[in-house]
This record gives sequence, structure tokens and C-alpha cells, in this order.
Amino acid sequence: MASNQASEQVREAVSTEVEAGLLARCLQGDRQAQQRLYEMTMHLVYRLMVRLVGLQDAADLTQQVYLKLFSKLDQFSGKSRFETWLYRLATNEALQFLRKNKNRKTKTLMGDPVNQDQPESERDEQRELLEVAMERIDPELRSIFMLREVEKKSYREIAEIVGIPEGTVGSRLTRARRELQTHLVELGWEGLQ
Amino acid sequence: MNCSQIQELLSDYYDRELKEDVRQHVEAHLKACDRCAESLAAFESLSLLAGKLSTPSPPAGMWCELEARLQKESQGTGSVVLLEEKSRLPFRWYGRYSRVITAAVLLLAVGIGYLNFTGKEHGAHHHADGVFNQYLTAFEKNPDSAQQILLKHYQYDPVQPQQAARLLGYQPAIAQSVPAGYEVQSSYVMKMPCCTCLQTVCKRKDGSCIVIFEHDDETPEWFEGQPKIKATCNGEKCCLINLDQDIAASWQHGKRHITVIGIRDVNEVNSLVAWSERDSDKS
Ligand SMILES: [Zn+2]
Repeated sequence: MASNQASEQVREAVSTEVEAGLLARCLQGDRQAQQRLYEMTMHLVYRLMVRLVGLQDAADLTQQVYLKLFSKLDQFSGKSRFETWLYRLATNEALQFLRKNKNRKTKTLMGDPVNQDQPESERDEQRELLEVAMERIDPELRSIFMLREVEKKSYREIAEIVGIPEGTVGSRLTRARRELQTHLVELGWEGLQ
Repeated sequence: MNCSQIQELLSDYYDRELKEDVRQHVEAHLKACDRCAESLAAFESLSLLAGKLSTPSPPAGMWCELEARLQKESQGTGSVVLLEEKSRLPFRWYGRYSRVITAAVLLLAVGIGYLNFTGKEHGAHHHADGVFNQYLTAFEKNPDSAQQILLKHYQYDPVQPQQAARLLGYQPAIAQSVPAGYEVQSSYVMKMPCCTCLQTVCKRKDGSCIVIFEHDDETPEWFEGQPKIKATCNGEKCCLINLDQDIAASWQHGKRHITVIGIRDVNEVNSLVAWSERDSDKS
């Protein structure tokens, strides 16, 4: 998937600029530097948010992540990669939001007017089934699944982002995959074999 | 290893996160056991499906809103409460209360970021009669009767936008194209105390309207005493003003300036700035 490549490019771009003192300038409240950092990285955060909380709240929560990021930048130790730290902020923000809004149903991309404009034939029904199935599993499992399957993170990075022991990433992923399969089959997925 | 132990390690195996010796055990089992091999194949199908997930492009204007929020934050006082309120805002506005909420948010966003529209102190700029204020107040309730206030106080010529150039001495943006999703309802060359400008009322599909002013001066003191927010919208420096139920925005357009009232949200500001900039490219 292209996302991995994009993420790789972001990683390189960010690390180059980090060396050039971009983070330090952001920390000083330099609005231009903040905008630069935001523009380099926001698509990663937005993509994660769309999957975790739904389209409806993705933009607002993405902004929330950057408000936190700019105010907490001094806490970034440089021990982990900046990108990992950013994913961590984003995942925390999403999970916190979902806990607060437990009764609220995540709105999938199916509700997106843009998608509805497309002719039925062009819409990928299979993909939509996965979107529905993802809504039905626990948000933390969903985030782990997303980080692995879409963001292509290693177990070590996932552990760091979600804040769980590295040894438990695999078993949680297995649970996420099983549960998704069960829901997909219920929804009429025929992709299994 | 038995099947349930293998099943426990299946994700680690699939994602190539196992140590070599364990991996070999799992692999040997998978060759001999159809049930576990099937589970693994299901993981693969699921990955294929996940690879098809797509993400829509982020809505325009996110930085613009974020910048306003950052500006508000940097003022310090009460930021926690304000942030909380702001965080409840959906970015895309579908609800009918959205205009009221937008206005409230813009109001919250004000403080140190306060900008004066113009430092000029010419007598001519002062709308001592408060006509424009009356107009803005009336506009919130009824744009048609608000229009009558302007027409009553100022000299005007009703024009077709395409014919305004001979009165204005320049080709206004609206004559080059109408922003997408709007329809021109009326257009006037209006002689106001500050300057002569072109005022165009544009209707949305739902019948509500925005009013576009194109004027020479940096910005007339139309919004005197109202809090203003500096923001970058669609790459242009914009000044946003919180009105009662909607917002006004003003930005530079070539040698002139465009001010629009009746805007619902920052997204709409972005699309209007994009409209005016597209035209300036052409001319
Ligand atoms: Zn087995």
C-alpha cells in the first residue's frame, strides 16, 4: 500500500527538518514552523483518525492532536522517533474520545457524501464490509489492527504507540483479526478463500 | 506444539515477528495442519482487504482553524475551558445550529490576536452614522431589508457585474466568475463614505445569501469595535470577524480587497478565497 511509502517519506522529511531545528522553532511558538510540521505530518494523523473515530470527527480530533503536540513538544525526549510519538498522541486522543463517547456510533466512510456520489459499481462493497466490521470491534484492537495493516508498524512501534508490552501485540492482533473475520462473515463476506 | 499454541503465535508468524527457531516450529506445523493453515490464509485475505481501505482527503481549511485555535491558546487565560468548548465542534457543519456555534467559536478565539482592520484615522473612514452597523444587525434577521438600509443611505447604481467595470474602472472578481454553488441575486456599485465599491448579493442553493464587497481601501471601518481574528485561509492572510450568527471575512485581492459577510464557517471562507484567487490568476 502506498501509505507505507508515504509514511517513509514523511519520516525522512521530518527527521531532516528536526535536525534543522524545526521542532525547536515549533516549541518557541513559531507559527510558520508549526504550519510546516503540521503540513508534513497531518495526513498520517488524519488517516488514523478517520479509521479510529470516523469521518465526522476526524478533522476536529486531528486539530486537537496538534494543539496537544505544540503544547507538549518539550516532553518529546527524542528517545523514540518523532513519528512514533505523533502516532502515540493521535492514538491516545482517539481512544480517549471514544471512551468519552461510548454510546456514539462511529460513522463510517459509507456515510461520506463524496462516496455516495460515486456510482454503485465503483464502490467497493468488500471494503465497506471491512469498515463496518472495524466499527464493531474494540477501539484499542481496531487501533492495533490499523497500525499494523495500514500504517505497517512493527510490533515494537505498535507497543510504543499504544502503550502495551511488546509481547502482547501479537496476541491482540490475532484477536482483532479473528473478531474482524467473524464480523465479516456475518456481514456476508465471501473473501475467505 | 499443538494447534492452540500455534494459533496463539499465528499473528507473530504472519507478521514475521517470531524468532527463527520458533518460526520454524510454526512453519512445520502449518505444513501438516490444514486448520491452522486455513487460519493463516484468512489473515492474508484480511490484509488484502485492509489494503483497499482508502482515506478521503482532509477537508480544506484545517490549518486555518487550527491556527485560530493556537492563537486563542497562546492567550493563556481560560484556555482549558475554551479548548474544551471548541473541541466539541464538528469540523464539517451539517447541523442547523452550526452558524451559531461558528460565531461563538470565533468570539472565543479573540484576544491578543486582536487586529485592527486599518490604522488609518481619516475622518472619511468613520461611519459615524453607523449605517453599516445597522446593516449588519439587520442582515442577521433579514438580508433583504438590510439591503434597503444601504440603498436608503448611499448612492448606488444597480449593475450587471459584467458592466460594472465602466463605473469602477476595473473588472471586479464577480464579473469574471461567480463562486461555485452561488447565484448572483443583485449587484450595485455603491458610493459609501469610505470608497466606491461593488456590492453583490449571492444566493446559496438553499436560498440563504452572502454579500460580497470588492473595494479599493484596505478595509473600511465597517466592523469597528468588533473583534477580529487574523488567520491564513487557503494560503491568503484573512481577517475574520465574528458576527451574530455568521462570520465576515476580508482579504486582499490584487490591488483591491474583498469582504464577504454572511459566511457560515471557515471552510466557506476557504472556498471563497480560492474563488477570488483563481480569478486573479486569470487576469
Ligand atoms: Zn493446527
